[in-house]
Amino acid sequence: MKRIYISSFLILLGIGSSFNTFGQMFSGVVLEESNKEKGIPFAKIYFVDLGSTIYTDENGDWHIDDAPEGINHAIVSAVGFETKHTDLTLIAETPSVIYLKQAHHQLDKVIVSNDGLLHRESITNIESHQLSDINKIPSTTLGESISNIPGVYQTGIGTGISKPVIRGFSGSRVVTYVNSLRIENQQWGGDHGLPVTSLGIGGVEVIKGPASLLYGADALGGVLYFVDEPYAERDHFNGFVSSRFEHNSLGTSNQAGFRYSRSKFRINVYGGYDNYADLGTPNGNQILNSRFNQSSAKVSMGLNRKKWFFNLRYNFYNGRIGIPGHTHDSLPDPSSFLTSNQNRAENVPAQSIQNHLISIENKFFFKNQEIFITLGNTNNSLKEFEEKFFFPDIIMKLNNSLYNIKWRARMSSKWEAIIGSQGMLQLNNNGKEAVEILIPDSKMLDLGLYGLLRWNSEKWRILLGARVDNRSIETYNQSSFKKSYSGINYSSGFAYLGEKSTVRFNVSSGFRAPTTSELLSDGIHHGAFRYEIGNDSLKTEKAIQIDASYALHFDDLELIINPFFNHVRDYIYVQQVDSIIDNFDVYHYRQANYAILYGLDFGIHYHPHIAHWLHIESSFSNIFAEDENKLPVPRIPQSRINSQLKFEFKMKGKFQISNIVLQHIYYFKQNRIGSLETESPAYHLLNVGINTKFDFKQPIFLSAGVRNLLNEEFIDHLSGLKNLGLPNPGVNFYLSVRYQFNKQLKHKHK
Amino acid sequence: MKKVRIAAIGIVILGVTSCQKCKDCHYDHDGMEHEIGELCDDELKDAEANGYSVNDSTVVTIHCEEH
Repeated sequence: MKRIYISSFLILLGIGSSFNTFGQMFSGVVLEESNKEKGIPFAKIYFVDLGSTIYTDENGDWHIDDAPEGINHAIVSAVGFETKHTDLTLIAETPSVIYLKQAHHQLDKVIVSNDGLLHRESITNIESHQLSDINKIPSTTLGESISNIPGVYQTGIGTGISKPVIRGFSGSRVVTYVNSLRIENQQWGGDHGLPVTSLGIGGVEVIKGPASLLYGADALGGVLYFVDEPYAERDHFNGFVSSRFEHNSLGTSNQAGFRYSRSKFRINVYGGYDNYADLGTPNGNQILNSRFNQSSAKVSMGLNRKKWFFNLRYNFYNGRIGIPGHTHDSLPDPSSFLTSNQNRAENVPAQSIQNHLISIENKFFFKNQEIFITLGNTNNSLKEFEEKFFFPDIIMKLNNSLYNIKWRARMSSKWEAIIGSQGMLQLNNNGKEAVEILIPDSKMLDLGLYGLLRWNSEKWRILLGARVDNRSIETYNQSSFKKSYSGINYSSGFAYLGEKSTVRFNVSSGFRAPTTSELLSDGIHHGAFRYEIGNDSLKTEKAIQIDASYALHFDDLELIINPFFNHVRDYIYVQQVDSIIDNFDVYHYRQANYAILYGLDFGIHYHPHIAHWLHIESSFSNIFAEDENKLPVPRIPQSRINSQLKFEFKMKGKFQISNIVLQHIYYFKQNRIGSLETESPAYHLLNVGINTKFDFKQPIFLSAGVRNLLNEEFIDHLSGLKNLGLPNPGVNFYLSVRYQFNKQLKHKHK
Repeated sequence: MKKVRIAAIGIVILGVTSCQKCKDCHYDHDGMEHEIGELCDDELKDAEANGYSVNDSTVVTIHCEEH
C-alpha cells in the first residue's frame, strides 16, 4: 500500500513539475462601484484555491506573479466595503477590475451567508462561519463550539467525548471533512467523538440535510466541512502561542502555531495539548473519570507553479478519554459515579485514540477549467480499556484510503459544469490481543461518480446534479458476510440573491448503507453502556429533503427563516429490548418503513443605528421527528433559543476592550420521546465573556468569562449520561491569553 | 541560540522520561474488598495479565480503577 502512495505522489509531483515554474505577472485594480474611477487602497484579495493573500497599493492597484492563468476564486474585502466573492479571470497583460460596493452601515453578514466555499457547488442554505466568530465565549471542545450554529447540537459523554448532531442526525449519518479529506473514526459509536480539535482550523461550513451528491454515501444528515487556517500573507512569518484555563475541570488548553509564506512555498505548523480533570457538577461534586487529555499536531505545506498548486497536509491526534458512569451493578446508584476528589490521573474505563490524517491535494488550472485531485489516507486506532490499565478489551484499527477527483469547466459566462469521482477503501481490523470483538474484521469499498450543471446570472443561480454510488462490504476472519449497496442521488434547486433578500429552494436526496456495527455487532459496547446486537438484513436508508430559506439583509437588520422537511425511507434505529446480558441492557438494530424529520431554523441579527456598539443576535431551532406510526423518534434535540448581546468597543490606547458578550440559551422541554426514553425539562444557560487586547507591537489578547453563570443543574436530552442521572457541567470560569507576532520578510527578487 | 538549545534539550529530556504507572489495587474475596496497596509498572502489568498471588497459593483478579 505504501508503494502505491509513494508512486502516486511521485507521479503527481512529476506532472506538476512538468509545468513551467516561472510565474507570469497578472495585475488589476479594485475600484469603488459607485465611483468607477476611484481605486480602493489596501483592499485584501485572498485567492482561495491558492491560499495566497495580497493587498492593493494606495491607488487600488494590485499584481500577483504566483497565480495560474485562468479562473481563480477570490475573496475581496476592504474596510467600509462589502466583502465580495468573485471568480477572477487572470489573463497576462490584461488587467482585471474588481468593483466593491460601499457598506453604508457596517453590518457583517452573520446569519445570512451566500459566500461559503461550498456555495460554489451547492444551492442549499449553508452555514459558513469563521471559528473565531461562532461565539466570542470560547468552548472547551470544537463540538461544543459548533453547537452554537442553528440546527446543530452536540451529543456525547462528559466533556471529552463530543459528537455533532445536525437536524437530529449524528454518528454515521453525518460526514466530516477537513479540507478535501473525509474523516472516518468509527463514528457509528455514540462514544466516538468528533475526531478533530480546533488546532489550526480557520472555519467551518455546515450543510444541513442530505448531501450525497457531492459527499457520497452517509451524507444523509449533513456535512461538517472544516477549513484550515489560510497560509500567511506572502513574504510574512507569523505565529501565536495561546493558553486557556477552565476552573470547572481544572483544565488547560495550550496551542502554538507558526505560518511562513514565500511566493512559491508556504508552510503552517501547529501543536496543541489539552488536559482536563474530572468535570464539576452544579452541586459541587465531580463526575468520576470524566477526565481527558489530548495532544495534536498539524502541518500544511503548499507549493505552487504556473498551472499547478500542491498542498500536503498532515494531522496527528493522540488522546486518552475517560468513560464515566462505570459500574458492575445492574441497578446502579448514581452517587457511585460522583466523587469529591477531583483527579486527572489515568483511570479505567477509558478510550485511547490515535489518528493520522494525511492528504495530498493537487489543483491544476487551465484557462476555463480546473482539475482537483486529492489522495488521502486516514488511520484511526481505537483502544477501549475496560478494567485493566495495560490490556485493552477492544482494539480496532480503521484505515481509510481515498481519492477525490473533480473537473470543473466554465462553458460560458453563465454555465459551469462539474464532473467528479470519489472512492474509498476502508479496512477495519481488530487487534490480535483484543478481548472483545464488537464488529468483525471487514473491508468496505465505495465508488461514486457525479455530474453537476450550474447556471449563474447576477441574481439567479440554478443547479442540477446527479450521482451514482456503490458500496460493498465484506467481512473476514470472525465471520463471512458480503453484500453490495447502490444508490442514485440527485440535487436540484435555485437561489435568488437580491440586493436585500435571498431566496433558496432545494430538493436533495441522500443514502446511507448500513454500517458493519448495525449489521454485525454482537457484544458489549462499554462507551454506550449497552449490549448491541446487529441485523444483517438491514437495507440502505434513503432520504429526500426539501429545504427552503428566505433571508432579508438591511443596513441594520438581518433575518432568515429556513424550514425543512426530510423523509427517510428504511430508517435504521437502535431499540432497547427487555433483556440484560452481562449486566448491560440489550439493544437491537431495527428498521422502520420511514421516518420524517421536519422543523425550522430562524435567525435575527440587529445592529441598531443609534447604538453602533451593540449587536443583538438570536436564533431559534426546532426539530420534530416521527416514524411511520406517528410515534416520536428517540434522541431528538430539544428546541432552542440562542441569544447574544454583543457590546463592541473601538478603543485607542495600549489596553483595549474589544467586546463584552452576554449569551442566554433556552432549551425547551422535550416531551416527544421514544419508548424507554424519559422526558427532559426546560433549562436556561447564561454565559458571559470579555475580550481585551494589549495593543503592543506584537499584541496580547486576554479573555475571561463564565459559562453557566447561574450554576444551573440540567441534563441535556442528548447527553450520554442522561440515563445515569448525571448532570452537565456547573459554573465554569475561564481565562485565556494569546500572544501573536507578525514579521514581514525581505522580498526575494528573481 | 543557547536558549533554543537549552529548551530543546529540556523538551527531549521530558519526552524520553517515562512516567511511572502506579495504582492502588484490591481484590474481592468472600464478599469483602481486600486492599493490596500500590502496584507499579511491571508488577501491575504482571498482576493484570496473570493474576495476583495471595499467600503464595491463591491467585486472585485485581481491580485497580479509581472509585
